[in-house]
Amino acid sequence: MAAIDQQPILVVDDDDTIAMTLESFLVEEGYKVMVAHNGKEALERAEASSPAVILLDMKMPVMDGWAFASAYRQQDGPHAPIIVMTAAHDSRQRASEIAADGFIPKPFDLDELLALMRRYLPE
Amino acid sequence: MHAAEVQNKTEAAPGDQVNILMVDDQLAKLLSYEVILADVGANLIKATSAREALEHLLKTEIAIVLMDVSMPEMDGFELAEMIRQHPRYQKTAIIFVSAVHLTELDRLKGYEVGAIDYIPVPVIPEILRAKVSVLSDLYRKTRQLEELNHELERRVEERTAALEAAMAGEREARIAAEAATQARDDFLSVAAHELKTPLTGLRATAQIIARKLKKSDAEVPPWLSNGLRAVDEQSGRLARLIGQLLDVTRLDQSKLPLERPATDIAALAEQIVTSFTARTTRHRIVLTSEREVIADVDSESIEQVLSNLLDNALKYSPEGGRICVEVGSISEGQIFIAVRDHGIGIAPERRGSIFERFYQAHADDHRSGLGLGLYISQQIIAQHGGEMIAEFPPDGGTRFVVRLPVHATSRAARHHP
Repeated sequence: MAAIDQQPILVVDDDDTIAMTLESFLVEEGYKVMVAHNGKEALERAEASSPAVILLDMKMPVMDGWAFASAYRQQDGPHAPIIVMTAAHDSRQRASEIAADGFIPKPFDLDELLALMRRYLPE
Repeated sequence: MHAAEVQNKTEAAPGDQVNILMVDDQLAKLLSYEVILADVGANLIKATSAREALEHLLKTEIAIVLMDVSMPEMDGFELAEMIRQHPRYQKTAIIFVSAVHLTELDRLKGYEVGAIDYIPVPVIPEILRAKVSVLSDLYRKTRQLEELNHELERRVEERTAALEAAMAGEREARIAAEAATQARDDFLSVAAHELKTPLTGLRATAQIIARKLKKSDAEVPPWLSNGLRAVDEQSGRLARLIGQLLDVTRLDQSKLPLERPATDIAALAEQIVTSFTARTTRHRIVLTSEREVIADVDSESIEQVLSNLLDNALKYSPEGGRICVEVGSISEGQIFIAVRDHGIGIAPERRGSIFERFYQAHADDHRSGLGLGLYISQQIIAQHGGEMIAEFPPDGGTRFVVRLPVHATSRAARHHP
């Protein structure tokens, strides 16, 4: 299912359990995965290897989701769709604040996350 | 002498007594006036010249000046003019006594300088007494009125100050209350976020283990798969309860964001019924629906309402049984959603309160949640310009009916501007 030259999925979350669980889940599903624990790391990963989609937590230390989104969009080159995963009460509002492509409230169902993510992945 | 000093030195007559100043260069006349006015009840002051009269006027508050027109040095007209120039004596009554025959012109001159009255000589005692009596009464009453007026002004000022103090206090209290509300909301917001983060890890972990077991072809004992499903379900439920806590504070301030695109309620209901069907083995959830039921709603909120109703239906029919969900159109641009269970129902004495905040119709058993589900649901429906009612079928259980306008109405806008 996954090609060797497949673009990775960038998972950005400061919570280790969530980041690790998502990584192992997505790898299991056949995707290449990059993990970042804050916006700054995420910018570095995205620059090193252009992601296919970004799963983005909002509240993070060092650089949060808002700052990441605006910095990422100022980078050159094509920009991957951003899906906001947030434990905030109004996840939709958070997502619209950074003009995200999609959002999923935490705690999410993995199947739902997968279905949402696939909508933004190239065939 | 400065006016201020003058004021300080003047003294009102004791009690209600008024001062009458009698001015005549002939002492005999003054004495006769004294006799005539003895019964008036005023304090009589004698002056034998205009100069002496002025000295008294500077020291004492005078109600009436009774004066001879013709006096050496300064005559009555001149004295009257000087008295009138002093602001404090604007209201002092001046009565001229005149021995010589006065022409109309003289009288006019007298009135111009402020005379109130003339008394011709020979003085008729009854007339003098009557005039002085009336004028001193008038003076007394005027003074009382002024005192009352001052008292009234003082009281108005006092009340105004008290009122302003009270208003300032109220304003402070309101600001403090708003700050406390803000602090509570901020805290709840942070708390909800912090509680949901480990839940996310917990739920995802349970789901991953379940998926791996499923893929491994190994024999999975029911206690393990059931346990994992329970972890998954309960973490979802916990997340919903945390959400309710936040919802209820936001509803109180109409902060709940609502987007209302045209939505197929039938499809939404089908999706929710499917997910609830997976959650129970004892219940049979039957959906009866028209093919497409479109209304302008915030789908997340309506999903929340329907989930609340189904949560309740499952929770309060512990013996299992049939749960009926109906979705359809009714006339006049309205649609309806109904959820009916055949469970334990609600005791008649508790039916009136079920939509109240924190009310738990089943507080004495251990099935209850926070007592917020129905309250939040009804508020959401009200924000949509719809209504939500409970029915209690005679054959048991409870039926909740939601009616919603197809289009976002002005009625809804009026309720929630």
